Amino acid sequence: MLGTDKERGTAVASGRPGSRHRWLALLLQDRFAFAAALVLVVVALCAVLGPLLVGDLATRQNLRDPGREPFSLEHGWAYVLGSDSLGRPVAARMIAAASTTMSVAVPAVLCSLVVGSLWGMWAGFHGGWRESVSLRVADVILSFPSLLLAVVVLYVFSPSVAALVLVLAVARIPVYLRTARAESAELRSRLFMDAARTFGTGGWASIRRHVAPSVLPTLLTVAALDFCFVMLTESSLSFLGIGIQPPDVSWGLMVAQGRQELRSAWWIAVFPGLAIVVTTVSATVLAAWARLSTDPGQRWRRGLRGGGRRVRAKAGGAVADAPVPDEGLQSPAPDQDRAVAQDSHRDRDVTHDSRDRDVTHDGTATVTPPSESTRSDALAVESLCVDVHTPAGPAAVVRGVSFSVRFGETLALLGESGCGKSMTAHAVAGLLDPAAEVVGGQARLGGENLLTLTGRARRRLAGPGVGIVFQDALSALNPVQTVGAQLAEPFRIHERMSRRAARAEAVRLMERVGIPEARSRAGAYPHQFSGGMRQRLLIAMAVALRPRVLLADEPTTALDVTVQAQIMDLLGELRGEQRMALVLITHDLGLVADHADRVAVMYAGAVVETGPVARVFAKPNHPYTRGLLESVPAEQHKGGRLNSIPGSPPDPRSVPAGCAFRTRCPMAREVCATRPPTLSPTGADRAAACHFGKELADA
Amino acid sequence: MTGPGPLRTRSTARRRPKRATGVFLSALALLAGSACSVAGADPIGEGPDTLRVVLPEEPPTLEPCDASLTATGRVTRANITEALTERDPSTGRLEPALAVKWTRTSATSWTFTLRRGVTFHDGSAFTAAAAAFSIRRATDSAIECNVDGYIFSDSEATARAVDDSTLVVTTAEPDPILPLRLSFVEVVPTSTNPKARVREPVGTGPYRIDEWSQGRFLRLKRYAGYWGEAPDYAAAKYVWRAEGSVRAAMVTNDEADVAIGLAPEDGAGDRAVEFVTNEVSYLRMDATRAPLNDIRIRQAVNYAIDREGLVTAVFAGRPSGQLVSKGVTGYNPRIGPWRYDPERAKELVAQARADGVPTGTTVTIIGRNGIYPKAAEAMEVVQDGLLKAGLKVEIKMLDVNAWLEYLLRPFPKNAGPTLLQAQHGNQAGDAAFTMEQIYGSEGAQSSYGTPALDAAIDKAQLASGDERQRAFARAFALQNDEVVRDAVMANMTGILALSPGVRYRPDSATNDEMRLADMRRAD
Amino acid sequence: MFTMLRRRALSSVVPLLVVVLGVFFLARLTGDPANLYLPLSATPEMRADFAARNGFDQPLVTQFGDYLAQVARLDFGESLRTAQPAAEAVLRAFPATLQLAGWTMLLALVGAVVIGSVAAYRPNSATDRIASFLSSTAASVPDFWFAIMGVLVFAVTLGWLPTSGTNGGAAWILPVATLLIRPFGVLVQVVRGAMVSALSAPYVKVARGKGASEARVVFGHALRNAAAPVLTVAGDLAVGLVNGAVVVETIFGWPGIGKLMIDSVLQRDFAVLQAAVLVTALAIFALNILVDVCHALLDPRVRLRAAA
Repeated sequence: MLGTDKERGTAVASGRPGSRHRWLALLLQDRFAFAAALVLVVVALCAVLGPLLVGDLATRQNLRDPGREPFSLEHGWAYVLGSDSLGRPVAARMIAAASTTMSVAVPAVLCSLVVGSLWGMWAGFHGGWRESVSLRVADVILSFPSLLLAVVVLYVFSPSVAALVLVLAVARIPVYLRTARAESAELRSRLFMDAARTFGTGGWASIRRHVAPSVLPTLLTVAALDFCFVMLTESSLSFLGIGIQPPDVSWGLMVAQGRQELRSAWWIAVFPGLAIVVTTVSATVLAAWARLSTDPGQRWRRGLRGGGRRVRAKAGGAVADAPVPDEGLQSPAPDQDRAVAQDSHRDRDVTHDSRDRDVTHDGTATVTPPSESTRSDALAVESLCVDVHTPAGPAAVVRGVSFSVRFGETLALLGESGCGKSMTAHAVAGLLDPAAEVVGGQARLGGENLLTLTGRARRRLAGPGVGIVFQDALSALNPVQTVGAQLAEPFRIHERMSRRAARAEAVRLMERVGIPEARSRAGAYPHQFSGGMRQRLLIAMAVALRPRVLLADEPTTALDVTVQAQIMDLLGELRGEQRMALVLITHDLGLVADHADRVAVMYAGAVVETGPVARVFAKPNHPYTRGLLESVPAEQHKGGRLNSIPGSPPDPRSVPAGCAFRTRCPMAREVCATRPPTLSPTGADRAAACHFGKELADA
Repeated sequence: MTGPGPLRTRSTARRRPKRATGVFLSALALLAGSACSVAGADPIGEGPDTLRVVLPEEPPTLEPCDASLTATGRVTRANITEALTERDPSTGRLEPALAVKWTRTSATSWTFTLRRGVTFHDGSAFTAAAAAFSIRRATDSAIECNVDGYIFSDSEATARAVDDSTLVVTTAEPDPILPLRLSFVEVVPTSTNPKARVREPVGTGPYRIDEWSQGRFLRLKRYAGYWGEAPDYAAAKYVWRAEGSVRAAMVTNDEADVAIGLAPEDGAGDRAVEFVTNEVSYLRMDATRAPLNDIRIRQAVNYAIDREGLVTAVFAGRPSGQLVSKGVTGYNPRIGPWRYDPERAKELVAQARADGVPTGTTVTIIGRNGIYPKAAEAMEVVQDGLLKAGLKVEIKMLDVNAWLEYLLRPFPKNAGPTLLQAQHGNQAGDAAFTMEQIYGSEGAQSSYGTPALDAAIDKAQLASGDERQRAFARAFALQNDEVVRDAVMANMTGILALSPGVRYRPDSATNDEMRLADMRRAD
Repeated sequence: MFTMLRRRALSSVVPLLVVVLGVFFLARLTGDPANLYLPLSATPEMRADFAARNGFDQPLVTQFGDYLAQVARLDFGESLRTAQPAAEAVLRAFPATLQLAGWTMLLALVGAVVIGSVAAYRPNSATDRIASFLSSTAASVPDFWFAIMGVLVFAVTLGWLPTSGTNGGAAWILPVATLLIRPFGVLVQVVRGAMVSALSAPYVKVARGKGASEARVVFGHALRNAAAPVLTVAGDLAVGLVNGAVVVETIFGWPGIGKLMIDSVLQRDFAVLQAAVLVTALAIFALNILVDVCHALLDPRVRLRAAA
């Protein structure tokens, strides 16, 4: 997940496969998934071509010399895995068995998957009596001894593949039904489903559009494991004589018959057993891979596989003493000072080698020289670079961002979706996803570089030093804890307060942020609050320990206009009260105009212009800022495309060489393609990263 | 998982995870507390004086009149209860047990002189009245004794106590083998319930029931008042495990002294003891339906079966050509197993086909799982042979009850021509317990018979002495040469595992009657 | 909560009846048990007798009515095989299975939560890969194969454990291990998946933003949110155990209900089968209710939905 939903959207767009080749390419990247796919292809080939391959070898008995040992080619390839108690070659039988095994397992799993999950989704989506009745039906099937069912089927019909499939499928339906029901009921309780229903979308359409995509990944995982369950059940049924009838043979039958000989001829049962295990493991691995590849929220993880290590190794040359991250999901904050020092005067290269990403823009230091700003600045970020690891390699999403903010001041980080502003805030707060990695720069908070702190030191500062407010208050609050407990947590962690004292503090905080009846509401859960109230709670949590810097990541995006104003007022009040520095991350120009003192406009992972809000908005010194301001009347749909600027922001993996904005810039010249502009002063307390910044300032 | 519908709760706030923890902890405590009840229910209490025997299955009951059932009989017979007579399986001779001698006083009447000084486990004395009571209870009570059906299916017997030690038994028809039949009637005291089955009987045997913890073990204790020689072991403990390899492992692991019902592949190693049983495996052909109604096809089936291969690769046994084993009255030493001759089988099928026999009709092998080790594999061998001979064959493996419908009259309609996988064990030692049932035109297990064979059987049944032997032997030969209804496969070999500390020589009756008194300490 | 329990209990009555009805009629489709319980050469009169005594001569509907009336008096009939009351056999066997299944689920859950969380903590790390591989292997190993290999290796070759039986604590190891292996494998995967989603949720970031330790993040915040799918799957697996401990009970000579049930199916011992199914169905329904209660305890939204 790339930080916020909006940014995730970009990743989805960029990761969407263009064609089947794309999938194949993705598959080839994952060695495990590839091996698994290969195994399944071999099994499928055996299933289809097996009978042709082995002919009558599989049933050729040799009673005079049974139980030949495996791993000898003396008697031909078919005997390489030994022969069974009737002298039949195990290898040939396994190939012949693949077809029968699959013709039972595949339809049985598919049937139960399709019927069970459709039924479950339907039941979960509608709820009410449909749900109750469906669940009770599942209970009945589950409590029914499937063996009795099997004996009846054998007795009433004849044992056949079709009857077997029927028995196995019916027995497994409840599992899918219940899983699908649980997940879709969970989804139903979420907002967007209500919205879908309000729009009058039909049941099945909603299920197809909203429920199925979320439920299917889980069901696929279950199905992959079920594959093995079905094969093993078929095995025990075969052993009871209800399963596959000789001379047909399945792996399950081979295991069941061979287990009698485990002491004298282990290979008879072990090899088909291995076939079952390997096939199931392959199916599971592939299902897990498919789940990662289809789930946008999970997809970034693919990039992690080995990728992180590779990049780190590559970057090792520059960051020789980078500490190995031992905090798991907590993102690493390698000491990049030296690398930055070494490379800071090198011109930015146009290649996308990750190592060169460490190189930062020249001249950033000129805007907020650390030497002079550290004393008055609450937070000073310098040349921050963040890479995200994708399957295609690392992509620079933050490319040398610098800004500073003073106590009691509000700085707005303004930019479109995907420009890297949230990533910047998360990097500063040390909350990057594992896929993202800080590869250069520093963030100074009262003389300490936040990016190089150990886990313990960072935790000490999280709260009293830096607080962060997220945009989606519903998902940012733990749904299963009372808000009181969540608000009390900072006090419990940092001030080691008793449960009771922390709770009192929590109530006081709730009162401060304007939650009515705070004392009684402290025992309620997040879902019992309105959106605005939740945002207040989130802010309360962030300011609980009076942080020096508060990072507010789109704090009002999900709220309606009146609530927005209330929340911003609250933030303003708190900032004044606590003399904290507020970094407001937003794409909303109006918000910036009303509430911020200074603004830093970001584009494609870099700051393109900074300055006091009023002056920047009155006279932008960068064509991008100008474009933004011109689009204001059209900016009704928040986060929508900017009408007045043609094109769209670049993919982080293919940022144009030279000036990142040149492809959309009305003023672009040749120089823009060859030389990246640096952020340079264009006036008092102002700077812009444009070759024509001065021209615009003076115009 | 529940639907929201039926789930209802009043207060939604202020619920703490503590409660979940509480539920979890109490569940844990419950489990921990109860764990001892299973583990502790099985006191070890087995010193060197206890003989540990592991059986394939728990006896369903120890009811004496069900002693002809293998699972019951091998525990009950000659251990807990005894009969008036007993057959020595090695010689085939009838030996005295609770009766010391018997004479045929008329064609339909026998007089038994009973042993004196015998007491039941409850202390009461064994008398002729108890013997008469036992015979009545077994043969004409409402409790449907298995012995009744097995031994007295076609004869009526009335017993009368003359004095304490003299018993007269009369039959409606002349019965030359009545004393043999009575070796299956276990004697119980008159205090036994005549109207209902008893699970834990009182008998006169060397061991009495000490404790039966169902599902776990059955322990017998030596009966101090036993009339005969006291057995070596003071107690015997039976346990049961369904898996042959586990039974064998228990002996190698010194958890049991005797394990029975093993297969060669169970891995008993040098502790395995092989012995000839009275069981004979065979295939019953449904000679009333085409193509099996043609004798050439039935002969072809016999030629097509590789009996040597079966006993090498599938089960332990000796190829055989008749349903009774050596030592049984009526065994014909001149009938050998059919030769394995696939070419001859092919020829015969081809001839029959040329004469218009529908050899393309699918013949179904009705198999029964677990009838002997690797039952399905055995049928695969048969199928392979028949397919090579040019017949069309399918296998259908069934569970016992479904299989019984094919074994017993009335047979299922529309079943098509079938080959039934079957096994016959003549426990009693007289071909009378084989012939009529299995080969008579009207026999309960007979799919086909001929008038000539019926006549031969009838004649043999009334004969006695050497004439009886010759008559039954002739009937077997007739079946084998002219009727060819069966394809007899092999006289099965039993395997048991014996710990080095125990001396025991199994015989052909061991599977039905395992005498604990015969098990001695090796040292 | 009690209202909910009552409602759930009431709503289980009809399904229970359906199970009983289904078993009753399906069992009778599998053929007349007379062949099994009468001597091979039984006469037609003996068969008629047998049928009359067991009520098999009545129309099925009458038989079912009689059965229900019997059950209402808590009389579950008599076993054809052992001539004992069916309820006695079932009640003797049930605790053994329950204990076996209970320990198995407990160990599987604890182990899976630990290993699944460790794996999810660093997705796609070597640890995660190994855990995923081993767990999917565990989930697909044929259990009877595993059981017999266990006996051969640990009892016969090494001599560390008894082969079978119920004597002492050591005897529990192999049966529990055999029963454990599949649920454990499945649960590790489920826990891992759920924990990966939970750990990438924004509230986890917020918790870190508050300076919470990693232990607090994982166990205080993520685990409880990941519990719902784990509970659901664990419930299903536990049902599978109650119903399917057959292999373990057969191989290790454990006097449980799985073995009783399979024996009574194969032996057409209807009374015992019906009683066994009724008891397991009751247990399964109770288990489902327990899972629901746990859901409600763990997730306030479930309680809200239920109240709505």
